[in-house]
Amino acid sequence: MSTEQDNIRIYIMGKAYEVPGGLTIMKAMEYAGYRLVRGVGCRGGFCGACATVFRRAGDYKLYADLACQATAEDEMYIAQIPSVPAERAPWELSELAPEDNPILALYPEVARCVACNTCTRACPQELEVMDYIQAALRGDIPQVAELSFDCVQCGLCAMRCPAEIVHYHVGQLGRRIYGAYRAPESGHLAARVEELRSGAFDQELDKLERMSKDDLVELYRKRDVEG
Amino acid sequence: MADAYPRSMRESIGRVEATRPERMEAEPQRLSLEERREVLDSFHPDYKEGGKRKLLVGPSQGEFVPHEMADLLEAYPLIDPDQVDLGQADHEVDVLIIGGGGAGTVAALSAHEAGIPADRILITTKLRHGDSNSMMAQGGIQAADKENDSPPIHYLDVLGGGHFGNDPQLVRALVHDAPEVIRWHEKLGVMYDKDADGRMQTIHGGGTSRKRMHSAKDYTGLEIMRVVRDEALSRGIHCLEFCPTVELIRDDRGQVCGAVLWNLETEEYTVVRAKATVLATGGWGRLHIQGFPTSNHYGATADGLVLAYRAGAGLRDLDSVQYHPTGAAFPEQIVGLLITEKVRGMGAHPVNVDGELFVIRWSRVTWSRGRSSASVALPNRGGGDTALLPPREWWGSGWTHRCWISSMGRGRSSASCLRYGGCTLGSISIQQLIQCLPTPRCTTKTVG
Repeated sequence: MSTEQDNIRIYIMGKAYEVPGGLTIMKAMEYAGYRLVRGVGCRGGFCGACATVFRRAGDYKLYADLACQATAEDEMYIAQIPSVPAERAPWELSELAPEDNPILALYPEVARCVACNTCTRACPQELEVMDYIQAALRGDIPQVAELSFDCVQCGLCAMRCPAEIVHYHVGQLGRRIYGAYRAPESGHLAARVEELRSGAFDQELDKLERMSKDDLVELYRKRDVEG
Repeated sequence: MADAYPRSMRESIGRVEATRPERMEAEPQRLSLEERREVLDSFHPDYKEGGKRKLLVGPSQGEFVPHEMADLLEAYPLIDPDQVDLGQADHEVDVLIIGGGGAGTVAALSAHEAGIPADRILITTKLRHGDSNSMMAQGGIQAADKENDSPPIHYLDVLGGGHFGNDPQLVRALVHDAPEVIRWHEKLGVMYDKDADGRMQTIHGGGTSRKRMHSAKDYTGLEIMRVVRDEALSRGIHCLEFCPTVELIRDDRGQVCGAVLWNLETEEYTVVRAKATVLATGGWGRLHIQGFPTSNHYGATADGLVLAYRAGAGLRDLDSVQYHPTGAAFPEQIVGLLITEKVRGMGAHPVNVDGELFVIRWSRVTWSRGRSSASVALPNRGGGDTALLPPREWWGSGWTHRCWISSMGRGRSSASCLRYGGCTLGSISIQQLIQCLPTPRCTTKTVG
C-alpha cells in the first residue's frame, strides 16, 4: 500500500513533482500543490469530472483515465481535460413516439464508425463502447442501453474518436428510449400511484401522524419484517 | 488473497473467516430499543458531548451545532462589497436555483412544468451540472409500491429509523410522494431494475420491514441524475457552472431577490436578479464533522446553509449527522467512499475484528462498541465472501473494537466496487476486501 512505497516522480503539465507512491492521480496533484477547481468532482468514480490523459516514460501512446480512480505511477506525464464541449443533439423525449428509433437521424456520425475500437480503449469504465455504437447502428436500442449503462459521461471516448462520434450522448439517448418506451412498465407501481391519487392511504396516514410516540413505538415494535 | 495486507489484518481476516460458517447458519436477533439507546448514548458522535458548541450570533444563536459548522456561521463574509455593483444585474430571471444536483435540477424541471419558460430559469453551481451527492447514491431509492407494502408501513419504518424524532409532516410527504416520483422517473426513462413483466426488483434497505429499495444496477443515483440533467438540457434550461454563490441579495423588505456569484475561473462577481430564489445546495459532509471521513461529494461544504443564515433564516436539525455504518477506511485512496447499504441488504454481516456479530441487519444502529470500523466484504462473482481491514494508523492503537462486515456472498458484484478494488488494491482482485468505518453521508440540512 501507499505508505509502504517509495516516492515517485510525476510530471503535471510538464513540471516534475516528487509524490508518495500509491496515490491516485488526483491526490498526487493535490500533494504536489494543485488546488483543484475543474477536473474534480465526486472523487468516487461516478461523476466523470476528472478525465485525465497521460503517457508513460518511453511510451509514445496517450492513455486516458479518471484522476480520482487511476493510481499515479513513476515517470507519468499527466494533463487533465477541463471539459468536453460535445454537442447534445436537440431532442426531447416527449416528442418521440414510443416506436421511434431516432439515433441515426440525431447522430448520423454513428454511421462513420470505422470500428477502430479507440473509444473502448479510452473508456475508464472499461465499457465496450464501440460495441454499443455498433448496436446503435443496427438499431438495437436495448443493447445500447445495456452496454452503455455504466457510463460516467467523462467524454474521453468522444475526445479520441477519429469519426467524431459523441458516444456518451448516443448512449444517453439509447438508455432513455429504452427506459421510457422499451422496458416493460411496472404494473404495481402504476396501481399504487392510482391508489395514492385517490386518497386511499390518507386516513391511515392521518391516524399515524396524530398518534402518540408511545403508541408509535408499540406499533413499530410489533411490525412484521419481510424475510 | 489477503497477502497484500499486513499481518495484523491477515490474522483478523482469519478470525472473521473462522466464524463465518456459524454466522451463516444463525438468524440474528434485533436489538431492543433500550439496547439501541444505550449504544447511541455511549458511542454515537451525535449523542456524545464535546463535538458541538453554542452559536454566538445569528437567528439560531444559542443552538448547539458542530464546531466545524459554527466556524463557518460565525465567520466574516467572503464578499467584498466594494467590488460588487448590485445596480447592474448580469442575469435577470424568474427563478434562480442555487445548486445543480438532483434537487436543483428537479426544481428547475418543476418550475418549467409549472409554466416558467426555460430562459427565465437559471441553475447555478460551483462545480458542474450534476456534480452532487445524488450522482453518487448507489444503493437505491425507496418507495412503498409493492402489494405487501404501503406508505403507512413505510412511515413507521422511517420513524423507527429516526428514533421517533422525525418531523411527521416531512415523513408523510416522503412516503406519500415516493411512488409518484418513481413513476415520474420511469416515464423520463430511468432504467430501474425490473423483471420481464415490469415488476420492480426491490430489496431491503437498512431498517426496512419490506423490500422497497429500487435500484438501477449499481448506479441508481447516477442514472437518475443523468436522466434529469439530460431532460433539463433538452428543455433548454441553462446552468452556470463553476460559479459558487457567495451571498444572497435582499431587497428593502428583506426578501431574497437574487444572488451574487463568484466566477471561479475569471475571479469576478456575477450578479443575478431573480423573482424567486431556490436553495438546493446539499449538505456538509465535506466539513468532515468530528474528523470523520465522508462519502460526500467534493462540493458538500454547507454553502447554502451559510448563505441562508446570513440572509436571516434560522437553521434546524444541525445537531445531527447521518453516519453511514460502512464507508471505506482502507486503503487510503478510498477513505470515506460509501459501501452501499445494498451490501447489507443482500446479507452482509457487520462483525468485529474477531469475527463476532455485533449489530443486526435490520437495526438502524449499525455500529457500536466505540468508534468501530466496520469492514465490508464484497460479494464476489462466484459466491463466497470477503471482508476488509482497519487503516494502518489504527493498528495497535486504542481502536480495540474494530468491526467488519463480511458478505454472505449473495447477489452480484457491484461495478463500482469492482472499480475501487481494481484501482486501489492494485493487482488484488475484488474477491478481496474493502474496509470501512462510519462515514457521514448525505447530510442534507433544512432551512426553516
